[in-house]
Amino acid sequence: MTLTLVHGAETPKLAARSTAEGQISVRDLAVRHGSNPVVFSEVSFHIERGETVALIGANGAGKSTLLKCCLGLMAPANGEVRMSGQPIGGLGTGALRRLRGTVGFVAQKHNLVSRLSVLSNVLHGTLAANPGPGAWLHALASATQRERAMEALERVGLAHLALKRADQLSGGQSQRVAIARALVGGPRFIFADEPAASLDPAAGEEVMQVFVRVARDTRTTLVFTTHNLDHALTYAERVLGLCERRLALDAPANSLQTGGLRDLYN
Amino acid sequence: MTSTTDTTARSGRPLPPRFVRPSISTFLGYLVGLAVLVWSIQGSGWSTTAMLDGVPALMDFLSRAWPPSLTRIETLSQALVQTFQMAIVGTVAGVVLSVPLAILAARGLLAGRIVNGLARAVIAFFRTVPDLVWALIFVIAVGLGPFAGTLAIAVDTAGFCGRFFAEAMEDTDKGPVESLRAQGVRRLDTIFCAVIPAAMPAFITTTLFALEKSTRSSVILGLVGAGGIGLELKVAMDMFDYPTAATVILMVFGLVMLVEQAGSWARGRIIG
Repeated sequence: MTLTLVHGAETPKLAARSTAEGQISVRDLAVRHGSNPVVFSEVSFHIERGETVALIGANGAGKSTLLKCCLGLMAPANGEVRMSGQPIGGLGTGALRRLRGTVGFVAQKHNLVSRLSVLSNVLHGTLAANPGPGAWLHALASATQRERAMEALERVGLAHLALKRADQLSGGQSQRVAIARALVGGPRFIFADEPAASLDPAAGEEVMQVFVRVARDTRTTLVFTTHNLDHALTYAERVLGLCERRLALDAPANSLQTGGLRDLYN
Repeated sequence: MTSTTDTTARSGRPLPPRFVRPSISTFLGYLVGLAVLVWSIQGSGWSTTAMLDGVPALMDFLSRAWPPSLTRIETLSQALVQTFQMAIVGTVAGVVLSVPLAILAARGLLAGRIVNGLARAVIAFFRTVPDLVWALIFVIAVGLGPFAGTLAIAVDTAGFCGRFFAEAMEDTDKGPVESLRAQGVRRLDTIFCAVIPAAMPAFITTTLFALEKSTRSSVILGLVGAGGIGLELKVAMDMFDYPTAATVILMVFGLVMLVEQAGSWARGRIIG
C-alpha cells in the first residue's frame, strides 16, 4: 500500500475562492503545550465544503488539539486556520462566537445535560443564533424552535424520545441526541471528537452512519477524529493522519487500506 | 516516617504493619491540638462540679414548668405560624439573592478572579456575621417585628446558600459547557441551560437545609424583638412563667422536627 505522505514542505496552495463557505484551510499550523515539546508543526491542509474527513493518529498526536485550534478554543504557536474564509486568530470575541455558531460539535462523551429532556438538550443547539431563555428548556421554547428541534431528532431517529430525560438513554442514543443538537442550528461544519469511542461496535456503526448520512444530505463539512481505522476508511472520503508531530498522511479513503494505516501508530 | 514492628505470617513473609508511627511534625501537631483543647476548657469555665451543682436547679425548673400551660395556646400558635412564615419568606428571598452572587463567585464560570473574590467576600460577610447580629441591625433599620427577622434570615441564607451554590456549580461536569461553547453559545446561556440544571440537586438539598436552619433561627430572632415565637419565649422566661415557656419549647421542637422530616422526604422525592 502506498501512503501519500504530506510533510510540511508540501503545503497545499490556498487558492482564492469566490465562496469559501463551509471550507477549512489550515496553513503551517504549530501547537505547543506550555513548556512541553511541540505537539505538532507545519500542518497544512484544505477541506472543501461538504467533504467528510477522518483525522487519525496515536494518542497524544494532537487530533483533539487540531480540532480545538479550528474552533478557536486553543491558540496555535504558529500558522493560520481559516473557516469559511475567515482567519480564526484575527476574529474578535463576537465574530468568533458567530463563526462558532456555524459549527456543530460532538464530543466523545456526548456531553448532554443529564437532568434535562432530550428535546431541551437539542434546543441548546439553537442558542448561538437565539440566545436567551427561549432555548434553555423545551417548556420555554417557541413552537418554531420546538419544531426545528423535533426535525433534528427525526433525522437521527429519536423523535419518539423527545420528552425522555437524557440520563435515561443508552450510550448510542445519547450520542445520536448529541448529533441532533449539533445539527439543529443548521451548521456548515460538524466536528466530532471520537464520536464512537465510548460505544459498543454496533452502536458505533449506527452513530457513524447517522453522521455521514446527515452530513451528505445537508452538504455539511464533517471532520471526525477516530482510532477506529475501519470507520475512517468506511465513512470518510478523505483521511488525514498525524504522526511524529507532522501531518503524515493526506489521502482519499478509497486509496487506503487498514493495514497500511497502522504504520501511523508505530 | 517509620513503621511499628512487623508481624510475621505463617509463611514467614513479613506483613505490612498495622499502625504507622507518626512523624515528629505530626506528633507535635497532636500535642498542639491537645494544648489548645486544655487552654479552651480553662477559658470556657467548664466545671463538672458546677454542672452537678446545677442539677437540683434544673430539676426545680422542670418541676415548675411541668405540665406545660395551654392557656395562651392560641396566641402561641399564631406566633409559631408567624415564625414559620418568616423562615419561608426569608429562605426564599435569601436563595433568590444567593443565585447571582454564587454565579459571580464560582470560579471559571462567568466572572474573572477579581469579581470572584469580591463576590466571595460578600458571601463570607453575610455568612460569618451571626443571624442574631443581622436581626439587631434590621430592628434598627426597619423597626421591631417579623420583617426585621425575615430580612436577617434572608441575608444569613444568602451567605449559606451562596457558598454552597457556587461550589456546586464549580463541581459540575464541564463537558456540556465545552460542547456548547464550541458551538458559539454565550457563557450566560451555558450557565442557565447546562450548569444550573446539573447543579440543581445540590441547590435543592442546600435550600432545604437552609429552610431547616432558618426555622431554628427564626425562633431565636424573637429574643431581640425580630418577631416570631422567640419573643413569647423571652417574655415567659422573664416573667418566670415556666409552664408557658415549656409549651413554647415543645411547639418549637415540634415545628423544627416537622420541617426536618418534610425536608428529608422532599429531598428523597425531588432528587431521587
